[in-house]
Amino acid sequence: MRILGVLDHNTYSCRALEDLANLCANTWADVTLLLLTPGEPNWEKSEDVIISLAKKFVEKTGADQGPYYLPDDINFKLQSDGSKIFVSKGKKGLILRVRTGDYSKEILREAQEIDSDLIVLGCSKGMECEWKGVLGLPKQIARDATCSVLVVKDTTKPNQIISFLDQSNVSQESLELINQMVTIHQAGLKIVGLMGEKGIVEKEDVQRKMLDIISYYNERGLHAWITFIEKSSIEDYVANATHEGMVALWIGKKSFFSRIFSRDLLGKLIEYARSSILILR
Amino acid sequence: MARVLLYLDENLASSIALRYIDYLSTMIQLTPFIIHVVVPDENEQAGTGWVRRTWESGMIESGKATISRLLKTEKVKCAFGGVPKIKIGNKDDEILEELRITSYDFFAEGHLPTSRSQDFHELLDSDLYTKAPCSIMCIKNLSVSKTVGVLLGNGVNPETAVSELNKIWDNSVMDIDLIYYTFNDSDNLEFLERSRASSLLNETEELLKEAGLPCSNVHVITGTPEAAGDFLINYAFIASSFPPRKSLVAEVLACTPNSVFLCRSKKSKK
Repeated sequence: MRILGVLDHNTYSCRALEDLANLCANTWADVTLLLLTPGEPNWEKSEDVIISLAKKFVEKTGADQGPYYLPDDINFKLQSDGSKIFVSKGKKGLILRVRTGDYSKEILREAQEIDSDLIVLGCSKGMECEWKGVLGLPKQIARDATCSVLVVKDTTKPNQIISFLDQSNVSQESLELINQMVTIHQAGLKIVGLMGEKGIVEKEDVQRKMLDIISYYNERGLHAWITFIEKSSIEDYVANATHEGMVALWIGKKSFFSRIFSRDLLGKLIEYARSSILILR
Repeated sequence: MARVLLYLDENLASSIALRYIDYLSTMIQLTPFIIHVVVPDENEQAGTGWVRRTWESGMIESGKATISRLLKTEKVKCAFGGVPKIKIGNKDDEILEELRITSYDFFAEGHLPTSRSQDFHELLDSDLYTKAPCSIMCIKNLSVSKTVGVLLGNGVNPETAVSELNKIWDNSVMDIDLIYYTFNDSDNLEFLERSRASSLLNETEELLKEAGLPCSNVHVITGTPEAAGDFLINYAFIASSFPPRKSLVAEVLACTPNSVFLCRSKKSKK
């Protein structure tokens, strides 16, 4: 698994870094920490910021006992695309990257270059879910990325993960991410299926997957349960669910959610959510 | 050893019910007896004599194959009481007939939880639920817990709930919590002082003590039925007497995604 952590020096990034570190300590994923700087970069200052964040990250993932290593002497190399990079080789890969330019484009470019499975980024709490200096950045990334995105809100930890499942071809990586969220937050897992006007439509493959998931967690002593909601009330339900805990939404090609959650609606969902949101692809 | 009549079909609700009964049998001594009803299409029903007998045996074989496939897929460990009973006809009528002619401690079936509480109320109003001569366990989810919650509130008959639990409790390793519920329109569930509950709480506690059943905790909660329903997910199942129609207790039981043990003693049946 490859994870891209997008950071800056604001408090919401500290919270995102904490969740990212917990995730990486459990998954031993290859990680790229990306720092974005506006306009003409002050390389020295940017390098200091990302090194400081990387040190915190390595410490939180277990320091010497953990999968990541950071030497005392860190020398960044200037790349032909104008970014700066430092590659550290521990048990698992840790790359520090500083990019400048259009934030949204640079994040998506980095995610594509490293073939990222997940982008993690924080945002301010409350109704704005903003990234300082760039209007609507978390929403843009959640909408436009081709991989999964975790938007970490600077709020209290969720005690419930509410996962909406509509397609059976859920990737192993997506399930692993849900698993990690449940484990990291020691939260309960609610799996929500969809039903039509005439009730629950038997979709054997989806329901078999639901059963497998709840059995998996119950066997491990974690509360996991399923419930079905009407397709017509999905928008309200998802909006309310963001008040109950972290919402995980599968927006796959075959998913009903990808049809009903237009780009704007997905943006609003992220904006209004009281807790973190995980968009799975 | 409690005798359970377990209704199975080839669907998610039955898979959950089967796995749950298997799990429950590790904590309560249960002998599940499987029943499956093949509901024929109206057009399918064949005439009389040899033709009908051949048609019926074909339906029975098809029902046996359905249950056999389900049991093979789910690979449960509990020991069943005899071979599955396969019936042809109306589901409620056939189950009621079986419950009348053979003695069971309770009937169990899967029912998937939905956000429409009306679905559960319709179930409570069905022939099967109104006329069953015994308690019914409506299995909504695979809840893993060693504690049973007894839901109390207006309209609950504590004697029925305690006596029916006592019937199945033989050597059980489970605990019991008492949950007294009152309505409040706040979405945030509040936990109140014990003194805020009616005498029903003390009465039920006394009944549990007399029956030699454990009582670990007492919760007096107030909030919306949805909030109370969510709180109840922490239990193995929620026991209560059959609630009055459209009562608040019925609404809480409709809202909870957890399994519900609706208690009815033979003398209290409708």
